[in-house]
Amino acid sequence: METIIEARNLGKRYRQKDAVHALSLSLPAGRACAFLGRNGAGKTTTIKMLAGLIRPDSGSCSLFGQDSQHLRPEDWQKTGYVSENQELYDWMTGEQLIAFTSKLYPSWDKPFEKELLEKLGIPLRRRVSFCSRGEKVKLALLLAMAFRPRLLILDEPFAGLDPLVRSEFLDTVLEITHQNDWSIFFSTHDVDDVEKLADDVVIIDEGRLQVSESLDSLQNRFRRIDLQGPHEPLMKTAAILGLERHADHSRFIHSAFNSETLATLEANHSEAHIDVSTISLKEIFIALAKNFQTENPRS
Amino acid sequence: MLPFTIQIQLGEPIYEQIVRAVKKAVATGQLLPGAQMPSVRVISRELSVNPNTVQKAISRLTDEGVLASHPGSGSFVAERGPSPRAERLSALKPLIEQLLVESAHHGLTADELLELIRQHHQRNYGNDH
Repeated sequence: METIIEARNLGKRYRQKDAVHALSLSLPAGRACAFLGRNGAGKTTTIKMLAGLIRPDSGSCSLFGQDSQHLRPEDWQKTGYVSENQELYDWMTGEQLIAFTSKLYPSWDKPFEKELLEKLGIPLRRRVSFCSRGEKVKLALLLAMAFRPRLLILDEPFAGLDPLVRSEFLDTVLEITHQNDWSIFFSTHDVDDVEKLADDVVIIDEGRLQVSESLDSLQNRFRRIDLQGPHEPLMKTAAILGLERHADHSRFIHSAFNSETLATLEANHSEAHIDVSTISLKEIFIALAKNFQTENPRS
Repeated sequence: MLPFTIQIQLGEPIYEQIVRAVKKAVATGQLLPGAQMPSVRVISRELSVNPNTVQKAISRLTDEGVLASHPGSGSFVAERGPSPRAERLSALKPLIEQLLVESAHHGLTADELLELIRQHHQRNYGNDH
């Protein structure tokens, strides 16, 4: 399958600090990848390098096999990009901005533009500078999608949007997945929305890759486990995260759960009642971030 | 409107939730054998989930014989021939095991468990099969 985004050993330093360190990832065609990390983890820096907006200090990255530092107009005509603080020509009205942008893309789809306008409810006759943040984000999304890009890169698109707008936004982004050739790479803090949209999840912390796998496999290997009743202390292993114990109740998150895990637990703690439950991506993310924080305290 | 009932819960893989919802609709007669399934695109739109996820659920259901796919015309609810007894047993055994363990933990006897199952079945699935 064609690789749409590829990064090899990507690195960027700001002053003495590694913003991104030896980061490698790839996104095949036809998949949506969620890019997660705490504030300052290096998400925006990575995305800007992918989009060729800043130069990596080491390693390289490409879109459609073309080095990000040398993207050609035809590569941009296949790529929709919405950043957190999108700069729009704010002296134009929405209508003027759409008319202007549509001229830049041979593949601009007028009926799709109308559909997006209707769905997102964007004010057309108001100057962009007078639009609310949500309206600007929706306008930026329309401009990034109406030419039916093969690749949609979204940097924190949901930030600051109210739940209704967020759900419209999510539905709109999913529209792209109904065409033949599509890929989505998006960073976000609204992890709950990710579960519906993402095929793959990439998590970085302090500029380093923590997780890169399919959402299904990630959800299948994380379980919350509760042991109730008198029991021996648990053996701490690398797979056990956030172990807490209050009297006769131990609770932790197991990050490499399978059928053997339960059998072993039952054998070692036959006296306790063991509960196993699935957890949301948000809980997985929090468990990983906390664990990372304990192991790598920030100075 | 989809011909099966589903409320997506975060935490569990969504394709597994779709698989279970469709199986339940077939078991309760909400989806009848031979009924046409909506397309991947329609389900994906309706649930606001990635079509790859829906496709994965449909493939799983087809592999398990719940749905049958007719090339060019989509997926249908399969006519259910009785599966071999051994196969049925092996599919249910882990669930029965789990049920027995859980009821033992709650101090239920096997008879009480059977009675609960019978009641649940009558309430939710009628008593005609």
